[in-house]
Amino acid sequence: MILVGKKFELILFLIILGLIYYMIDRARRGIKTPKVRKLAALQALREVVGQAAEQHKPIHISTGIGGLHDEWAPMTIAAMAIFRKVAEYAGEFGVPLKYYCIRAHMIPAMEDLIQAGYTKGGRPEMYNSDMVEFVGDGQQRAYMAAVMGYISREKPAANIMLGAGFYETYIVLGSGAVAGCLQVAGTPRLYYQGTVVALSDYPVIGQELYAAAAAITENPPDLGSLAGQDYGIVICSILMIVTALLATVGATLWSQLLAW
Amino acid sequence: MSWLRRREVCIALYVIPVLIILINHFTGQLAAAQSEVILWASTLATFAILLGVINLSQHHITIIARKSKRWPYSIILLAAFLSTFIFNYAYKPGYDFVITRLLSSLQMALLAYVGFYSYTVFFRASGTKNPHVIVLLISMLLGLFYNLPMRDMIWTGWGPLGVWVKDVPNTGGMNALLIGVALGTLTLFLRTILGYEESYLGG
Amino acid sequence: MSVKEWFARRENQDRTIFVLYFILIAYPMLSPMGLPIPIGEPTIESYELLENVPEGGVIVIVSDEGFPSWAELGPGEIAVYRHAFKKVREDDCKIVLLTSYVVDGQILTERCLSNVDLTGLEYGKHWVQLGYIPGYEAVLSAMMDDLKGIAPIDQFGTPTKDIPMLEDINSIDDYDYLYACTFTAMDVYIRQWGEKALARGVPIIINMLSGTVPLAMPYYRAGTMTSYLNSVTAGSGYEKLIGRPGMGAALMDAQSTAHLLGIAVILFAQGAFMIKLLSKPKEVAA
Repeated sequence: MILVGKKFELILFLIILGLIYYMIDRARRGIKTPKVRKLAALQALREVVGQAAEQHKPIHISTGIGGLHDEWAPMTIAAMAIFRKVAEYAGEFGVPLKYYCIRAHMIPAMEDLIQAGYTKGGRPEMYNSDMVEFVGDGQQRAYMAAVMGYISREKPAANIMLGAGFYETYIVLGSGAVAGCLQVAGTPRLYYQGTVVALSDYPVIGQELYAAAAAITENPPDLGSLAGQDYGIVICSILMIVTALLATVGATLWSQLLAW
Repeated sequence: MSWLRRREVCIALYVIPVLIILINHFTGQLAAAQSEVILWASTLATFAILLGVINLSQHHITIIARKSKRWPYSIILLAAFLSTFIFNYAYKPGYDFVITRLLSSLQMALLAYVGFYSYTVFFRASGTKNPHVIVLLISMLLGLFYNLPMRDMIWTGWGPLGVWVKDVPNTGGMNALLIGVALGTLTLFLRTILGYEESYLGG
Repeated sequence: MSVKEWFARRENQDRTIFVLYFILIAYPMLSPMGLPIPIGEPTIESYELLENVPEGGVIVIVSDEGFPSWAELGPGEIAVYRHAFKKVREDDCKIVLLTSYVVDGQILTERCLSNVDLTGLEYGKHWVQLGYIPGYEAVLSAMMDDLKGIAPIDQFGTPTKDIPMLEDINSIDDYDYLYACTFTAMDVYIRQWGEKALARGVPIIINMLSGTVPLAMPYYRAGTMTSYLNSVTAGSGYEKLIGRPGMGAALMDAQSTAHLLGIAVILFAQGAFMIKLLSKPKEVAA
């Protein structure tokens, strides 16, 4: 019933899925909730929003060009988990947020997220639909122009960019640096680690974004899934080492397994 | 109709197509159902664009009606949007002009900003004693030399060195990134099926 | 204010870099220097893969580049179009053109076609333009099994079932060459095409921006992606291989000088920092 060449893939898929499920279940039942080390960017979030309140300036938030429809969806979702908390702090301190939306399907998600944040923070009346502005589906250049214009005009107190950033990372963070904004940025995308480190005050490097999202929600299933991912990485690392050794001695076990 | 808004319906709308695709991937069965699912995904993408157009129009019409800050620019935006839309169906030369002369030039100009900003990133990142950043700078230099068309005029070793960097450390790093993305996607899949993922539901 | 004080300000540093960048890009474009154009192995490989498409073969070209990336991807794209249409004339190949990511690709397809000599060729018999089909990854996946299902009409509104050329072209079983030009991540194409194309021996060639080439390396080394074109560098090399220098050759000089500026900026900034650090008097412990 299983196609030729897919049996080993299915077994590996089920093992990793089972492991992640086991870790989520364990955390949810309170048996052992994984701990995430302290992340400077997370510690600084409340302070960043507080500073914006003191300066009576808004905060610009960005999830980059990624959406919920592609392989970068986990990054966008992790960013949204953090922004939910930022919206809550913004509601608490009375700070306006601004989000430029580059994916049409993100509009209702971000509107609800920000509105819920303000409500939880105690200022539901502060939310208005202008906080989420659509600039064109996948139109990266329109997005870059909108963000550059907003940051240079409004000079927000802080510029928070988390998620799947592409070329617009240079523009969003560069504009923020020129305007003198406090910058919190992070993306697991390898190309932009340098930009994030060079231009942000509180960088979130690589996979720390997922850890930050889990830590900020303090939700046991989130923490459990993070642990499951880490164990998944361990399994993949072991497989890579075994494969490299097998290839070195000329064994064909790996090719046979892949072709099974 | 309120049952349509229940979480379980949203989760089912995610789980059923994913299971169809997975079953087809591993067993080859349900090929027709998979084709239909993918066709529907393509149709939904078009509707999502419509949602964006509605948001854009709503937002800017409100700005114009209230004469809020920078309302003349909203008029320009809506006029540009409508004229491009009308030109596409009623006046092709106008559409070609807007796209090839205006839009493409403006977009290229904005992408050129990335080039300018990336050079300021080089400048900001340099001037450090942090060993990690120094490694980053060395790899930037190697990359720049490798992609330099006249690199052989400086030293013939840049090519083989660049190829080695591309094939060994870079491929290793990218493999790690891909595994991370794959595991993240698996985790997202599982969390959505189990109902723990609330971001896309707006909660 | 001294020069040193002026340059110490951040905005002046940015301005200096911007002005130098502009001069070093503009000058070679106005006055070409004729620097050498290298041709990489993947470029030669890509050329040979298209050259080896069998007689009567089907070439599928997915143009997913956008206007902003036209300067980088355009030269290679035009060169591939010229080569593909040469195959149409010489070996009676067929070409299917489509766009899945942004509508820009459909317009740029027209721009590429305007750079190709179509004399004596007939639309619908030698090539078909399916236009922009929204859906991106969904489209790339569906075209492997049911091209006419995902594209019931072509760009001009003609039902695809009525186009004679497409009668026997509907899935990966009918394609002989898959080419995509993209300004976004290329792993989407590999994910949707790789397995099925590899099983049938259909080559996959992706023309991509130089920033995304590192991400492509795992796929290239694993053989899932047969070959690639590295933006304008490969584009100019491809132009040389087909014997028709164009935009790519003109841009290579500017690329050289821009890269040299990048190198100079890094070395200058780090060098200045190291000199400042070394010349600082060491603090004596109390």
